[in-house]
Amino acid sequence: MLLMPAFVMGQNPVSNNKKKEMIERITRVSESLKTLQCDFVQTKQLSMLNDKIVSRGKMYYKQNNALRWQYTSPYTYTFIINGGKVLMQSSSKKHVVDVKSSRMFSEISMIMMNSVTGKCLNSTKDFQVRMFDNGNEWIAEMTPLKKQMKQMFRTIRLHFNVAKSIVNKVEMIEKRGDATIIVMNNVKSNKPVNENLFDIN
Amino acid sequence: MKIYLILISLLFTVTSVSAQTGNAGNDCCRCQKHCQKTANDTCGFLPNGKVVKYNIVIQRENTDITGICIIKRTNDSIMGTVMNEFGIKAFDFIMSTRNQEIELDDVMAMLDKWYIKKVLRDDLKFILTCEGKSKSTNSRVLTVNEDMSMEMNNLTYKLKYILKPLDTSAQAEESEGVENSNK
Repeated sequence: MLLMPAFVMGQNPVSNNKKKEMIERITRVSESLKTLQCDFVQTKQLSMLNDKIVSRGKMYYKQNNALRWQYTSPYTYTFIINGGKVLMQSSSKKHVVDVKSSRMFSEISMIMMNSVTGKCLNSTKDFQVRMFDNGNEWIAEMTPLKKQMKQMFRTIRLHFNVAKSIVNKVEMIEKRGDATIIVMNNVKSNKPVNENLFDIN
Repeated sequence: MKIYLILISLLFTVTSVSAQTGNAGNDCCRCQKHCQKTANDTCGFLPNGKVVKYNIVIQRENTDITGICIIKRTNDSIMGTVMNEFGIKAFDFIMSTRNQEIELDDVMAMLDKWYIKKVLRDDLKFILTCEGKSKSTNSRVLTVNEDMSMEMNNLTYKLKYILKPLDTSAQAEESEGVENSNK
């Protein structure tokens, strides 16, 4: 099982030089990202039940710490990070949390934001990163180093569109092997995004 | 103190579905006779072999935690998973329909405390043995509606569980379409 990630991709990680080059390119692109928006399909595989649950939604990102992650079906749930605050809104209630009040909130917010853009590849304290080149896509395989993340995930894989150097798929593999796969569709970068979408109040 | 610790745990789990405190007692003892009588038909609201998906809300005073609960019944057990909207699992559970014992598995670290798991097990058992009907004891009240949405109140710990069925049929078809188009 431990060998599975490399086996699935059927290849070895790229050399250190190539890895550095890939991460530099992704970082350059992420730094130039003023906005990003897309639709997403999230599929959670449940091995115990031999079933899956598929959720759909929209994501909006704006440079300088603003992210809206919104599930539209089969349930409605919105998660907004804006500056130092996080809003979580379900169909029944709305919570606003100050990120500074919880280290975990702060870390989750940063990881979500940085995963969307790919900036997390530089978080050497948070993840050990291996890069793979599949021709059409680059894959960053990130193994959590911090205890809290390790408790949740065995591996997180970010798939990048090579031409755009932007994330188009995220795989989060849990300790027992169940996976959550998020596929981004209709990705638009640096297009105007309504500021109200990041409104927390 | 335990309630306080559990609330801290709940808040720390961000949006994970979780549960709460202490020593719940054996509430289901009162309905034990009834449960035994229907041991092979433990949960009338769960069709055998089918997977049922619920939106779940757990409330305690001003704390409100939401997520998804997925349940499947087989011939000899009822099993399920509770996770948050992002797909991060809180725990798995499995209940034998023979002796109605519930086991929790793969419990996220923050909920992996005996006093939380005890209340979780007892509350889940109360819900899963309802046979699709409302019922109550001194410390728990379960209301089941026609659409199979449910509300269970744990009066001892002032916990409320609200479960509403999710309609995922259209989603499954759509996602298959997306998957195919991506190939």
